Amino acid sequence: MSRGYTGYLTGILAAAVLLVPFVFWYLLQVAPAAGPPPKVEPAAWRFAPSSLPLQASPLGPPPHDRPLLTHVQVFDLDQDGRLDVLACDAQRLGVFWYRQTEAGQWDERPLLEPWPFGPPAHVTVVDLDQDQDLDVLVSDLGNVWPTNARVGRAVWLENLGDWRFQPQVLLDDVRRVTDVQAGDLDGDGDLDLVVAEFGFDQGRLLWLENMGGQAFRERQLMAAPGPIHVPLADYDGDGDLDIATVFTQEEEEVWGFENLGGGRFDPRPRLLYSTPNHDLGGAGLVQCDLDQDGDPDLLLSAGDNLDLVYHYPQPYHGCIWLQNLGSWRFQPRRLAHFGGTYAAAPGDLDGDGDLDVALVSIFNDWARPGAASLAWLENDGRQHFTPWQIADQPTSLCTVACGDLNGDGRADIVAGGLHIKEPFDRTGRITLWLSRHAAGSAQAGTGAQAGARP
Amino acid sequence: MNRLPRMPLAKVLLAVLVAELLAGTALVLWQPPQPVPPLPPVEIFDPLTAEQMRQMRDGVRPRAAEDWSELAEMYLAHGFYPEAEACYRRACELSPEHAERRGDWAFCLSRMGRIEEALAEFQQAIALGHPDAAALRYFAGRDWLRLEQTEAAKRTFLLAADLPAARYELARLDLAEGRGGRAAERLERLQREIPDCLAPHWLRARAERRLGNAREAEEYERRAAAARGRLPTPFDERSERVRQVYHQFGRQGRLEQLRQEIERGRLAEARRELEWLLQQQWSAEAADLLSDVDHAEGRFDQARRRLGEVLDREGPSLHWLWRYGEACEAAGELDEAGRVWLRAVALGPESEAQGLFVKLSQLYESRGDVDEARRFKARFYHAAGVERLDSGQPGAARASLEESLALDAERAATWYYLGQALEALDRTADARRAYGRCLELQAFHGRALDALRRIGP
Repeated sequence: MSRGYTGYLTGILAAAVLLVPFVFWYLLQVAPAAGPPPKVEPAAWRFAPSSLPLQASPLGPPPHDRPLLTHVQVFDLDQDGRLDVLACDAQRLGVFWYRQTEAGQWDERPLLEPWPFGPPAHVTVVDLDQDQDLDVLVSDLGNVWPTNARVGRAVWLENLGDWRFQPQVLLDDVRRVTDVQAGDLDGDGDLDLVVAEFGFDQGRLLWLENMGGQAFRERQLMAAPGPIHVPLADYDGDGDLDIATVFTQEEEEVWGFENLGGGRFDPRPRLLYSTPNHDLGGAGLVQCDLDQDGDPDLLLSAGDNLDLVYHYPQPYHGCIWLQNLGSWRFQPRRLAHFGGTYAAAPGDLDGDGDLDVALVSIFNDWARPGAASLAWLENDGRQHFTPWQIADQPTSLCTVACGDLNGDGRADIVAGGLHIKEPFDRTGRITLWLSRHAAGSAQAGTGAQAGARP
Repeated sequence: MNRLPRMPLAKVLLAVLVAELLAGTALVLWQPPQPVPPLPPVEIFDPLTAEQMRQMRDGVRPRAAEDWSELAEMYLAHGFYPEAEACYRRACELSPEHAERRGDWAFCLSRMGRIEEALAEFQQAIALGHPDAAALRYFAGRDWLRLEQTEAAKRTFLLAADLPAARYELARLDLAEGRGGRAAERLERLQREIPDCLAPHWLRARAERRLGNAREAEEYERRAAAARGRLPTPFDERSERVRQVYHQFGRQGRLEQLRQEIERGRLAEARRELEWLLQQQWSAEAADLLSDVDHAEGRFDQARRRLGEVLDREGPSLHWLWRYGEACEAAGELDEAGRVWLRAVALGPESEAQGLFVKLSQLYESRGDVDEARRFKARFYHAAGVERLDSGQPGAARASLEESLALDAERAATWYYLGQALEALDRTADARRAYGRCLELQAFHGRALDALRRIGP
């Protein structure tokens, strides 16, 4: 019996010796974690706060669920001496005119009700029929989401007076259209059009010759996906209008198309800017004379990286100034690094006589409080720019424009939100940042260090 | 005497056991505290998704690399990149030899724009024997390009040259550096391997234009316009994986399950849960599914009201107007259905509105409006024809387009696409006639004029 007992005991001990390591191993595995989490290193872009006396306020009705503003434009549409705001809304679907009736008072009017086309991407104000009132050219995107389908149109809203507009489709059966600009390209006295057929995998740059009677003849200038904007200007100073555009889908390139006169364009377009970084995320091209030397420069915004389900701001996003050096030479100069930059607008925000730049971000890291959605780049007069943060909400700003809306001699800012993905807790449709300038109080910047990527 | 040899064994075992207990206890008590997984601001998501995120994070075993890795992937899919990166990093600390986890970490770093760190980790993952080293080299090559380091990019793409996407990048670099001939050679091979892929034709056109071969450039542009496929890249698989995680998790995943339950006829359970989800946070997808339940239960008016709310909150689109019109139709409000469908087809695209053209045609037919019915039937055939042409079936496209023209011969675009189909079928004379007819209807139709110039009088 005792032998049996001893044997039994030995067996138990042997089993315990074998099992105990496993028990401790298991305990180690399931023991609750008590240590601090591994270091999390967010890369939200923030800048030192701006001291510009800007006051934010919504324009139009409050945001309704998830606003999808694609473009805002400042223009005196009714030519009453007060600047108005035009906005393309892909959620409420239509182009809305915010008419400034008296300082600070805004009256919302849809240009067409109901809107008979797809989501508008862009509006251009121009007297297309040259009848002395301002018409509106609408770039019908057709679909906010990427598609190769032929959903785009170029639409002319003819101003009939008395706030009424008559739509006429000038071009259809094309892929998504992101911009239409007008100018007399062939020197015959009427206005022709340039169209950015953005598409998706396939796209084109077109010019439409005005044949009279609101008939336009489509001509292809380049077949490439992703032209976004087509600013027209006399880039080479020879007295006629040339075309610039940014292609962003397959390549990241800015091209110039020299007008040779008589409706002819140089068959060898000029590559004004390119980068081997095909992920740059070009998002817009704005023509302005940033250095005020009398020739048109270009501002390229970059921050569109629609790749995974959600997007993250990248170190190379921001704003690039293409300085016109003459003879079709453009010198690229980085003005700012700012993750998710989707649009840029020049304006004299601090009233010192030079042009500053407002930038908006659509894809900053919105999960981090304080991530900038609106910043301005202060120009020291010699084209050295310092970034200042104006706002961290509304988030997801996609479009921005500057203009002296309140007549105080300084540019104000208007921006629109395109809220595609979470978070939806700081949405905004159209927001105004109006200058509240009082003499002596509005010194731009504070001397604090400009913020950088933390 | 007999017990003696046994006692030492028991004693030895006892001693070992005590030693194990002491060592184990010491290990458990004095082990360095294991880090808890980070918790991002999950409240930016709907309550169900946020709760599942918290649960998943709380369920991570502190020493289980696979748990950290799964959590990382879920965070990545929901845009919490910094937290995803931290979790991938921890997973790699726990399993330093695991090549795939290191590759995932590198990919996350890359997406965050921490490019130099990403490059180092891609390299490390390859050195550890990652099973898809070519894909990692492709990502690394793209990252070198993001740094504008073209020589390093070229070297990296050359190591992944089995991948068409890597060879495409090499061709692109050749072209950018002025070696159009070399680019054309590389592209020639790609064009043969993946003829329906758009990008190589398009880049070849650019290369030929650069070489001064305008005619060849036009030909490749034409091929690019006809091609439908996208260049396959390793990014596709990664992106799809992330999308799947996103769509299977939280509210998205639950909505997908409920969709299947509705299809299986489990309406009461689906209704209960969808109502709960909508109470938690309104979403168009949930309201749409609930309208399906309403419809299946014969509550047509409720379905119509619900989809009306979706339209109001989401804004008009082909999809929502179509759905709302169907609910109106089911509720017996045919006039309203017709009105919204008319608006829906204007929002296009026509290829996606084919079913709606049929519905409108039937609606007008039932009202005795034969002309309008015929017009919408013609639009249906037009849309079907263009879709077939786009998908490389010119014969079928021709048949549809001719059907459309038999019903409505006044649409210039239909004649133009018929010309395109006939050209693809090598019926040049017929194509010329079709383009000519297009121009009779629309004198300045640019593409028809260009086509006639191309094929000659």
